[in-house]
Amino acid sequence: MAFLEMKNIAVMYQKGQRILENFNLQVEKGTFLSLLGPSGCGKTTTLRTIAGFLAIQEGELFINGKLYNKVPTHKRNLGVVFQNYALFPHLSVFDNVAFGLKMRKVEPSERKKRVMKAIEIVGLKGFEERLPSRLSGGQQQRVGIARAVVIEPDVLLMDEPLSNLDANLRLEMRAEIRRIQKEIGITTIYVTHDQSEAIAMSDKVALLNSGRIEQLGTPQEIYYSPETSFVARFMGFQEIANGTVSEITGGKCFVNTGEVSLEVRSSSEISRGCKAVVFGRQKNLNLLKERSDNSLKGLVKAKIFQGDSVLYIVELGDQIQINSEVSVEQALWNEGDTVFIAIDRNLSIAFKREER
Amino acid sequence: MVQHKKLYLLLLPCVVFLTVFFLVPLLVLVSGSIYEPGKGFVGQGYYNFFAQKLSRDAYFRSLSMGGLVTLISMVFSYPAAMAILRIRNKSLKGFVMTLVVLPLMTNPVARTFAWLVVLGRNGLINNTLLSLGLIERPERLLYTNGAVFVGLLQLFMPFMILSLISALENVSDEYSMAARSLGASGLKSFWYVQLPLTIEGLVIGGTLVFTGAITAYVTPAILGGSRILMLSTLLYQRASVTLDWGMATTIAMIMFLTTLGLNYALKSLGKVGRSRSRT
Amino acid sequence: MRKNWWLSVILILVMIFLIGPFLIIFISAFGNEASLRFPPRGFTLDWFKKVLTMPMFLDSLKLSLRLGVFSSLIAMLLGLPVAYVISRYDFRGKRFIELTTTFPVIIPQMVAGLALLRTFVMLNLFSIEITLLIGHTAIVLPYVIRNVISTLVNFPPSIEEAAVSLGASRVRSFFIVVLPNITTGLISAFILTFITSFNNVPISLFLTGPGVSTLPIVMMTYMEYYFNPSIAALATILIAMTVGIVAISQKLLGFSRMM
Repeated sequence: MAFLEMKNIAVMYQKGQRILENFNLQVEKGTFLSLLGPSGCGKTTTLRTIAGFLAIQEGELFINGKLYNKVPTHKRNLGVVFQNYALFPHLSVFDNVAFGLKMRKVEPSERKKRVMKAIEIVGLKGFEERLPSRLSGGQQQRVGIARAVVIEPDVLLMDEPLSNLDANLRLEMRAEIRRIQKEIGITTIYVTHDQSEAIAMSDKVALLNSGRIEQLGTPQEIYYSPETSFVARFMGFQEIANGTVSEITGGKCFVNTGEVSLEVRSSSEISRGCKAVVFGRQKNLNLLKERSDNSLKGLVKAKIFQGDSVLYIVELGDQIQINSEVSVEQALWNEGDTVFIAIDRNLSIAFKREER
Repeated sequence: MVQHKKLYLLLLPCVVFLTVFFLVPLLVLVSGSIYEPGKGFVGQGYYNFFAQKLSRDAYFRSLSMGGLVTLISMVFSYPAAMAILRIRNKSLKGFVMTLVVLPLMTNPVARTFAWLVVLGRNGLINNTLLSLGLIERPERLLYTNGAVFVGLLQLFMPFMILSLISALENVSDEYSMAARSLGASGLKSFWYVQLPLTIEGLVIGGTLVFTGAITAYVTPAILGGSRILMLSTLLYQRASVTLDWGMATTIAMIMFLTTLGLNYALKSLGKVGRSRSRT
Repeated sequence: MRKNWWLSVILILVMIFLIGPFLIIFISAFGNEASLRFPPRGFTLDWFKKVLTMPMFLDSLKLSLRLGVFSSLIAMLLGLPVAYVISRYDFRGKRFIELTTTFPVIIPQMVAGLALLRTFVMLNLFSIEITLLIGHTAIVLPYVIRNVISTLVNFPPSIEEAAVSLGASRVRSFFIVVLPNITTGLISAFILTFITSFNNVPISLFLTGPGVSTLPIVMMTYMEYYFNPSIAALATILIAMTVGIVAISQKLLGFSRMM
């Protein structure tokens, strides 16, 4: 059994709606797993269920082999880091971090040692006596982390901890959090809606959609090999062309768009003869003067000068519009010109077309 | 982990307290006004109330006085509230706000007493007018409708002001600027944009003032005496002086039902006002 | 902002109307004549002395103080859990609880006082003082609940969740994490309800008896027979007391909207 395991979990709101149903998740010890997805997908619910803030209707939650369903939150040995830091306003940094140890009745001298070490790990040495109101957002979040890890929990749960910080700080803290996690080696479940954050920090990423895991894999797998169109869209792919699948061989397939037959990667969803959509990444779509192998014809709708690059808005078949950024030297086309878009065989994927 | 049973335990003491010690006595009172042991169902009390001129007059005086106080307080509180919100100096604004709230925290007996000093035979107004030679003898200003009116107005105006401040705060200046840019003069902008947006504040304030004015005892008692009888002073008379229990209970019920009805009527009026503004 | 001078004029008039009477009371409290007149003649502090020594006033003052303190305390004990549950949870019957606890506000207080008199006093179930206590507590309960709810709204539930996740039971976390941070709000709620109870007339109106009367009631009775500056003196003292309490609490607790 994995270190943390959720088996057929069902969780519901007080009103009776089920948010999670038949939910399964396995996390190995020491892994940094991100729960990624749009708002409402159930990632925070999953986290709060593990923490014990939400009751489990059906299924089992195991941590380190022990069944946790009926264990009340304050008896679970978990560390939680909150989006709005949730520091105790009336306690100093030291007392905030020491709180969990105090609850566990750790001796004062031992407590002091561990607290000081935790404060040092997060880089806040010297701030022990400060009150939360006197700390910046980033500092508060570090205190939150120290407070959660000092108790040496089985699992560290982080609920969008960086969402309230500004962009620069977020990048800095990303690295910090990953560093701390690796140093301590703690199993971590990290909730975020920011895919670049998840990719940068995690060992594994689980992309959630409406209470289900759409795909679970390494960052590379999620980024380069989305398994469904939902995952593709979330990870930055966009629709390029519609067509019908004419042939599938190995990992590739041919999609007949009417204009041309494109060779792209296939996904598990499609089958011969089904309607498909080709997805690709904006930066992998190169503009060509002439039609080449595996390309689509398009019309330049707009040419926007951006300083050291030029943005082209090109309309393809089926009124699909794509953006393409090129350097100023390569910006040979003008509005109204015909242009060709090269479709990379290995970086574009065909998914099944959903009927609305 | 929502432990429902423990939650209800926390609510229990309060609910029990209110039910047993508050709700039950009221039910006893209500039933007493309709049904008297030995006499059967008695709607007689209500009939008697409206049949007698004295009680009828008291009732309608309360209603009209309440309505007048509400209207006048609206007329003066609105500009006052606007003026307060326009004060730039933060500490001055806070000071004025405190002055508005302060009267609400003081003893109503003391507040009303002040009017005795102002309106009495030897009071401020009479003495001033006498020394100015405008009158020869002290006028009787007390125990008149005017005295009660003024007292009630002073008592309840702060409620209206506060309610309007709260409503006006939520109306951004940008609305009137937008209206102006679209061609509305100051007055039109006020009537068509600002006023409808603050109707809710007027309704809330109005309800407070109207119901307060009808149920107030201190002011009508001190400034009106038995000459200017209102519903509340009549109730007191019947309950404590003449010990006419049946009538007292009836009056209490009438007071209660009137305030309920008022609450409901004003709320509906507010809704109508709001929906009309959506044309 | 053009044309707002007439707004300010109206404001000034309104303020004079609201505050003026207080100033008049202050001034007339020092007058030297037995019958109250304005402007007063002479200057004396005798009325203050008289008022502070009359047993009638002192006894009722003590009663009003007792009532104020105890009704506020009981209201807070009853209301705090309710406010907590309402602000943190959604549950079946929440609407009902909200209605029940704001119910006393809708009832005209005179009616409530009469009902309490009829049920408890006249049937000899409770003494007048106890009934007064019940009445006052019921009247201030809705204010306590509303006040505490607005304080708790500013205290995010995630802080409690943090405490629980670190090992404190829900109950413990309430006492060591929530309570220390809402003390200010609780104190201002207490002061507000104390003042409300102290100044109350309608509930206390019917609930009087030999030796049991609240201060405002006694003042009114006195005013029926005597018209001298002693009431003005008493009023001045009471107003000064109120102003003092409000001023001190604002200094200590910061400016919070008391309504």
